[in-house]
Amino acid sequence: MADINLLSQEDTQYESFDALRKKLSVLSVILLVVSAVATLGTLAFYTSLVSTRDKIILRVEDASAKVNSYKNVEELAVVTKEKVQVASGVIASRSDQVKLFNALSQFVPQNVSFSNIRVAQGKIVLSGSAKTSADVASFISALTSAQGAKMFSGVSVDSLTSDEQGIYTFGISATIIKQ
Amino acid sequence: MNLSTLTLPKIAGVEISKGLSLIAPIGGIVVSLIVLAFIVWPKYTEIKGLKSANFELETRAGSLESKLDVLSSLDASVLEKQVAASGALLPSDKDVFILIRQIENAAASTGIVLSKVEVVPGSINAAGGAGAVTEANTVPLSSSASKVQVRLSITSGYASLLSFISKMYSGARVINIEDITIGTSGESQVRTAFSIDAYWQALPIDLGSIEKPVLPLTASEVELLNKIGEEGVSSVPTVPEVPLGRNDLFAPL
Repeated sequence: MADINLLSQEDTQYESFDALRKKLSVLSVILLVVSAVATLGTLAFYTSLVSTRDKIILRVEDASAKVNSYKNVEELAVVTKEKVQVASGVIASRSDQVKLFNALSQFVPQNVSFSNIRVAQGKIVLSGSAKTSADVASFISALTSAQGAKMFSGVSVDSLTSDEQGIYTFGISATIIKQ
Repeated sequence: MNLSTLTLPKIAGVEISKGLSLIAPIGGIVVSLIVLAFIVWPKYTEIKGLKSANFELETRAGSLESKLDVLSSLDASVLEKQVAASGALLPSDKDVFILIRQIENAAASTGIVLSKVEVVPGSINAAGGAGAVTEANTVPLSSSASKVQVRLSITSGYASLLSFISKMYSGARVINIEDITIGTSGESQVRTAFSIDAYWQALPIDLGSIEKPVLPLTASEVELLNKIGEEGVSSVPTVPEVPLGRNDLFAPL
């Protein structure tokens, strides 16, 4: 026996329409609530940010006015800082020649004498004479010793000659190590 | 009998009421979307901008307040002494004649003979702002510091030479001695040639942005200034006054 559908087509359509209407109503309510909450929240947050901004602007204006009142002090502080910074940099980077010569004197044997010393651009060039070759050797050895290596590096004998009296004339160059 | 297949006459009123019943939910959805699109979204965009603006303002306020703390903590009287000391350390002008006077004084007190004093051309003139020191031999040290150079030839004993160098370094003005050439010159005398670089820095024209921080002096910088202060800024040599007026311009000295 065939099934008997007791609902009319209109009723079926009405039911599906009613379900759609209910869904739309629920969606509409949800969206309204969400948009209302979002609007209120956004506006409240915006207002609080604006209020914060106003407060910060007041702080900036207040601090600016106070900083301006210290302008004379600031000028003095800036000038002092700039000058002392530059001066400190120069003092730190310059080499102390007195200290260098005093250190060098400790490495020089008694029978070695200099005729010329040139100190320029971090290098030292020594020209002089020594009574014996042993004195020259001793001098070079002192320059390249552990103690000497703290002051000089790249010690090089540029020239070494002796005359008929056995006096040795030498030329030595080295790089000065910055202390 | 299949009732669902039966056709009933449509009632126009029912269709209208159906349509009307959808107006409220659809209207609600449309209103919600309009609110979200035209109120919430623009405000959200504004909030993002406002937040970054507030962050920048907060940073600005913070830097100004910390600058204010530094400035208010400075003692004006101490600062004035430090300014005077820093001026002695690094003058605002070339002050070539004061440097020459310092060399002469050091030479006199250490017993050396000044064979030659040569101010490098360009060192004397064109004093002033940092921008004016681009001529030859006045090499800028940093963005705003420059130097003047004096070449010396002296004759002295070796010990006197070392005393002279020490004396020059112990002066208030920051100098650097370079290119030393020492040669023997007879009886326990040495002939020495070297250059003295004396530094100077023009005063700043402006302080820059109000937010530019004021850096406090480091301990070593304070120590350096105190050392200059203790030795006395007044120890900086001055060029003495000489009588003016001469009738015969060609009379020998």
